[in-house]
Amino acid sequence: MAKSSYNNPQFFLCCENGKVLLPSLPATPQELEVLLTNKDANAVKFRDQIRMYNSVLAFTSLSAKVDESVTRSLGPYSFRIQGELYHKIGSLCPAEGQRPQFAQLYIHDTKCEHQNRHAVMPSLDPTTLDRLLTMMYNVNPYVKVFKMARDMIATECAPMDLKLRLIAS
Amino acid sequence: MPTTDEVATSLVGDGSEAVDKRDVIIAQQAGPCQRISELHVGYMALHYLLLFPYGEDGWHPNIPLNGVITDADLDENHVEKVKLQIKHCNVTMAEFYGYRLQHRDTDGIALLQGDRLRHQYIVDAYVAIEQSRLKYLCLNQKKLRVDLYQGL
Repeated sequence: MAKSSYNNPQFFLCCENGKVLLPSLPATPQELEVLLTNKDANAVKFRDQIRMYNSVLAFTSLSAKVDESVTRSLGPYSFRIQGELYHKIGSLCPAEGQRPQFAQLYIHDTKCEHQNRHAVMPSLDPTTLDRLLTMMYNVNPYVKVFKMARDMIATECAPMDLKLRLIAS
Repeated sequence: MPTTDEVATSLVGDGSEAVDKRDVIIAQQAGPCQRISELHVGYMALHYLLLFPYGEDGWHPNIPLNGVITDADLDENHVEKVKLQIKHCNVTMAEFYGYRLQHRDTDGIALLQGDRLRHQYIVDAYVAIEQSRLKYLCLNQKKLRVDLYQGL
């Protein structure tokens, strides 16, 4: 920026001198905060596997060419991709004979929801995963919407082809 | 914090009523995967559930800058004048992600404590910014008068 100098530095990236003002992020739910900050073995393991926990819970799948040569090397963790990256979402119900994935885990065969999720990533701790899932059902609006859709599908007089619209703005 | 009513509606029928083309319509029956626009307000929240447990709103094209009087408050002539004086009146994608990645005492900690997931989020955000910049170049060839530069 024009006025910034070595002796009199000006910082713009954070908020453009107050021009950008966004709503604060609400306080993190207790269960999650403990896992993100505690130093006990369980929490440390959670942070180590946080990307796996996230993909078990996520609605969308991320497609990108991840450069594995840096993710598995020594030194600090780095995430490097090449080419395009995009988020994809499938249908509410899985195709005949296929296992539910991503958003479908919130809809399909939810009596075994925990087992289904656990089957996707067997190396995750089932208790931690349960706790996170319960938390999401309590606070996350998208999870609540998918639960609503699931209940509608489950009712006897369900319409044959329910559609869910996620509003863009 | 968005509420359930604000993030989605359920439709019965073909869902072909006039809608914002960035809206995501998910059908019950299996079909091909669809891509979510990076201009969708839930683009990040739908993937990074652990970073945005409350489904916090992400960037969308109509977030006004602080202190900018919105169009609704003004008559048309005045809007034009204000728009000329300041280069832009909405928060850009780069400004949005730049703002979010600063530590603030008032913010929840999930995003910045997210460890490896945060790394991924940052890469994701940067790609989203780059992709929209490229899209701008692609869609504004006339305005940029690229034909003048050809053969240089």
